[in-house]
Amino acid sequence: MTRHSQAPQAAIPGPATAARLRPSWADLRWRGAPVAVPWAVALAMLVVSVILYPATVHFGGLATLTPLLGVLVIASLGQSLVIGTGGIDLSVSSVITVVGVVFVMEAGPKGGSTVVGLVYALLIGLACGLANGFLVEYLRLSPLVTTLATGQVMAGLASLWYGNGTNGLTAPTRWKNLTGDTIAGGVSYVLIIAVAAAIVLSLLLSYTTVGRRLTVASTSPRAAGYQGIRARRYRAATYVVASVLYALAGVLFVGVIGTSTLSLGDVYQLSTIVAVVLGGAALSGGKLHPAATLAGALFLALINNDVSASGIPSGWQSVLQGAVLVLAMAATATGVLRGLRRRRLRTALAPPAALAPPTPSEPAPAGPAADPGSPAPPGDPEQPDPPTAQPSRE
Amino acid sequence: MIGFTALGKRHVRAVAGFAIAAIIAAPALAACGSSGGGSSSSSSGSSSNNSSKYSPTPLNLTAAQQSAILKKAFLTDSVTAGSLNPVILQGLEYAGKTYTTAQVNKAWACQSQTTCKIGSGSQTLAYLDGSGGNLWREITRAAIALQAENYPNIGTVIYENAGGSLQTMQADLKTLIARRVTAIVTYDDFGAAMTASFQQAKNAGIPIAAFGGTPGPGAANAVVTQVQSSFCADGVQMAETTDKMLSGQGNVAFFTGTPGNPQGAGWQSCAASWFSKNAPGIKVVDKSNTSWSNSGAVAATTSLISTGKKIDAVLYDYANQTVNIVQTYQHAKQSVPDQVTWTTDNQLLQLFEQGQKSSDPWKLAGSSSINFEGNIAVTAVMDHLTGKSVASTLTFPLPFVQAQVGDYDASQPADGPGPTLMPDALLSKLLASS
Repeated sequence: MTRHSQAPQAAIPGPATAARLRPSWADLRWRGAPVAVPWAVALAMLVVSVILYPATVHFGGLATLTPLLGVLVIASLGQSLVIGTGGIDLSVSSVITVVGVVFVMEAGPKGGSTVVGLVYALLIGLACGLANGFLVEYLRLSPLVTTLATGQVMAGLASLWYGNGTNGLTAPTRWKNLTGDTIAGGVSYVLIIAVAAAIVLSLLLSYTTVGRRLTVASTSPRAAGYQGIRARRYRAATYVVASVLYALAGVLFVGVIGTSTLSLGDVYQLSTIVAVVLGGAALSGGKLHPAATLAGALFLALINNDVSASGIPSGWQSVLQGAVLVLAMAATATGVLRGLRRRRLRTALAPPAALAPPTPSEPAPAGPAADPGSPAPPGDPEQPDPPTAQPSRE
Repeated sequence: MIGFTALGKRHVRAVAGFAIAAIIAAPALAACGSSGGGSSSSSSGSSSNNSSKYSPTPLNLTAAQQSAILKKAFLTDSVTAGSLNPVILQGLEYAGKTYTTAQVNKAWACQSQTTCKIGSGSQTLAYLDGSGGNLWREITRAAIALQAENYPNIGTVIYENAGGSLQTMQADLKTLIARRVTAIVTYDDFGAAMTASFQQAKNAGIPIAAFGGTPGPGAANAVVTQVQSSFCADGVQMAETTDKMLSGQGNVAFFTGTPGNPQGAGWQSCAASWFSKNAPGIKVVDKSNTSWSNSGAVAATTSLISTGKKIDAVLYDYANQTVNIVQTYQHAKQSVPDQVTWTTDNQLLQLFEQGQKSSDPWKLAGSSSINFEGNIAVTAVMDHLTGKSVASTLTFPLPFVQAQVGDYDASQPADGPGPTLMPDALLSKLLASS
């Protein structure tokens, strides 16, 4: 029995209310729905792609598409962490670019070290994430403007370093071979790394204390505060982890492309957000589903590839991305509204005991706090979980 | 009454202030006017005074020297001096002439300065770059500074890099107008969007010559000339080269940057027409856009591979990203199609040489690096100031030549653009710094 189905049982609904609570065909209360629905859509898209272009799943198609998909997944996982807190990270493209430039600058010349390049790249990601997290969560600056500004700084640094000798360099051959290599069938190692990252993130979020605290801090900082969780620290950490993931995406992307340019990360500014939203995430924040983000990225990569292969002008790709984003947001918003309606009903019907906050000793805050249908903390029963409402943080 | 008196006193002070300012400013403005020299009178004048004022030091090359320069410029000896516009020829000659070490060092020093003194002359030449930074643009910048040393009255060379921003380029141009430079050469990455700004410069008496990226026919009255190859002729040349490489049979794909860009649209339509008339066995089966980015080239090639179409040759107008096309085919473990591309790229030549050693070699054809475009623009804009007639478009040929094993230069950086007319000493410094 799922958590969703437990709450109505706690109340004693009257006949009219019971009729309103009757599950409808559109009311996907299955616990796995947030992941299963995006995957169903992505797999349907895959079927369409294979019908239109069978070579998509041949060796050549997979060997060239899966590296790009892998990079998109890794960057989107980072974006999903930030979006989960109700924030947004517009520094993603600049971090990928600057990391690409620095990596090639260190590892590209004769005698250059790939390891040093990787370390520098990840350190830059770390620094950018720390700056974003501190500014957004501790100084309470707007995530949109803050990440745009730090992204501008990163873009400026990339430009300075690029013009200072990196423009003539390429990624080390061994790195290019590694990122361009595939397992049997044509699936790129980059995608395997991306899937591994998604699995690790899923396990971390679902089965560890840190992950559950991160989830509750993301979805309801106030509830997290009542449970003694340092929500601000956890929320700031999402920016750090996100930037490190962008850095990883950047170094892998440089290997796929073979060289760094000042427009290296541009394509990931919007596409990471689209992939996350296609994965069913609400831009206002909520529980994270890395597997759903993976599905969103797959859908996006396939639709872009199909549009390009069809010979339709590339402008349509942007039109399509924007339209898909709007549709996905509309679907998510509709779901949110349904969730709000259910919550309001449950709050009205639930007995007082059901409104009691979880005690600090209760180990699983992720469940009720992360659930849009969970009760609000005492003292403010009408307060929805407002991850984006700055004054309510901690 | 008291108020009126006070107002009157303020007026008197203001008038006196303006008068003093005018007295101070008049000589300065006069000096500026004479130093700039790019006034409207100069652009329309044709007196001998202007001729000597804006002329370069004379150049007397032998026929053999001239032929050597042309061969280096176009990678073939099929282009003769007689077939070229005199302004183009003069630009090439000054680009390819021998320079002293002191001149080379001076041009090299200018690479690190946005405002660079190259002599004691009062004239100022400005290079307005829409999106500088890459090696090709840096070589072109150095070539322009070096050529400016041939003009005794040019004492200053200014370089402005808009960094890919239209607004910045417009602001940079306003700054150059305010500084009353003598003449401007520009690589206009924003096409017709710069026309109004160029018109402002013309109205201020500052002539502009555009090269490479040009504002198009609508700007014929705003700029002195536009230096470029003929896109249609380029398309025909590419088609002819492809026909030779494929022996008249095969599928080809057209790649260009942004959809509908004049360059891509120009060569593609003429190449397609040529194929349909002269090589019906060659079919254009795909047209892709790369947005002029490496990742765009990879994505476009990935999509092309996904279609499962057999491609025998890819025609693209940017050698640097042809590298990505080749590498994507290699990742897919598919035969690399023959490549016909504008300019050359050292990494591409390296891939080509590696491909020749494989069991599945592919062919490569490219054009010269055409860094001389900037030199032709300098010659044109200075000739205009002397009162000479300069054509509103200066079109140079762009022959495509098949690459040979040995063309790759291991001492050059990956994005080395191939042979240039620049002195080896200066080119070495540029390549070493990149």
